[in-house]
Amino acid sequence: MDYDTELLNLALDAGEVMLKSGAETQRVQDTMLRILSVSGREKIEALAMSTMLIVSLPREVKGPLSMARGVQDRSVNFEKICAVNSMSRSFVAGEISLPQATQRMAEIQFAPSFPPLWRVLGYGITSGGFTMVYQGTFLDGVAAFIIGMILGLMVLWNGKWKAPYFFSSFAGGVLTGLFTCLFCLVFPQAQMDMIIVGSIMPLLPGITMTKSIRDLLEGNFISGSSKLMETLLVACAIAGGVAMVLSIFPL
Amino acid sequence: MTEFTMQDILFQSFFSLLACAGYSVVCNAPRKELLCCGINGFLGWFVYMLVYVRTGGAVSATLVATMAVTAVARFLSYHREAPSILYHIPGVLPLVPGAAVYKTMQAAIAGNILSTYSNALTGFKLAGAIGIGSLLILVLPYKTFEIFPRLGKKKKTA
Repeated sequence: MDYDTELLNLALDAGEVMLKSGAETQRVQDTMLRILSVSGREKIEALAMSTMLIVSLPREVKGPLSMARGVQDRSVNFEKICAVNSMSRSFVAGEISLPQATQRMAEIQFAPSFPPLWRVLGYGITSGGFTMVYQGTFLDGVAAFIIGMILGLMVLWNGKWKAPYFFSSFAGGVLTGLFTCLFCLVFPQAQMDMIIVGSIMPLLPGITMTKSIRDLLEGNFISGSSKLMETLLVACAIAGGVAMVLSIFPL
Repeated sequence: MTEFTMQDILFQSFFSLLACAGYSVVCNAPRKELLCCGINGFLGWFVYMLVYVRTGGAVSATLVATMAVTAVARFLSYHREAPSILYHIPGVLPLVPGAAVYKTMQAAIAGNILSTYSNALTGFKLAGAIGIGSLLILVLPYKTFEIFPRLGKKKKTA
């Protein structure tokens, strides 16, 4: 591969990892443009939309070069965003060469993450904590902590067989409703709404919603409106899952 | 509306700190940044409650709290050399209208159309407040947040 192709590949790799890890559209475009600007040419172009990336680079001899890539699965991983950010900075500053940058990109793809137990505990703490924040009693907090851990286990398990995002949210809602009802049967003094509001907090698409509104206000209408659609679908799936259980469950 | 004492607010904000740090673990934030993410979550709920107790308006409280969180996120991003989204997301998490989603759903089950629409609209208003609040701070130039020299680390090549 010649230098130009390798440069475009590096930009696409960086953009793909950032988009997959939940970075804003603006930041993805900026990073790709900065990497391409190392070539020193004019009229370079880098576009990021919700599920695809396009980069192009004009060349004097063989005509312009342009590449596109689709980005399918999506999760949130701040560690990778930070790593790509610092990699692109040191590449643009000339501290590392192109092969070194490509090497580091390959390492970032398999960056270590928290062990599964930590992540399950994280879900539990988030759910329990938000129940307490929204003025639940201590009992509600404990219930939400347990339900959050169950949700965390479900999310990990769904990640193993790559469940569709809609199913994952719906199942999360169903589990929340089911276990909240069971808990309220055992402890009648528990407040059902507090437990549910806290428990669905880590599942709610708060990140996607914030980013979609930011994209819309910044003028990235395509990714903004598609993310808004995603937000609505996920929120409806969670609410539908909880609602299904609540309307069926005999109380 | 129930009265909140300062103690209540601090108590809730402390749990907000825990919850936001927990959420950062879910989002796989770098380990050394967990505390900063939590502190931003603390700040988000603390400012929200302060404004909410004074004015009683959830939308304006969300707007002010989001602005505070975004400003601190950009400030931290400069000092710790990390993308600002890392601190921004846990900060606005307590303000995400989860209760509005739940109430909308509950009203829909009960067949109360009017309440369904009003709760859904509340949710949209809060979401819009978060978006506008972040953008108002994000349009400021990056220089605004460089009021102190970097702490600790040596400055890299400019």
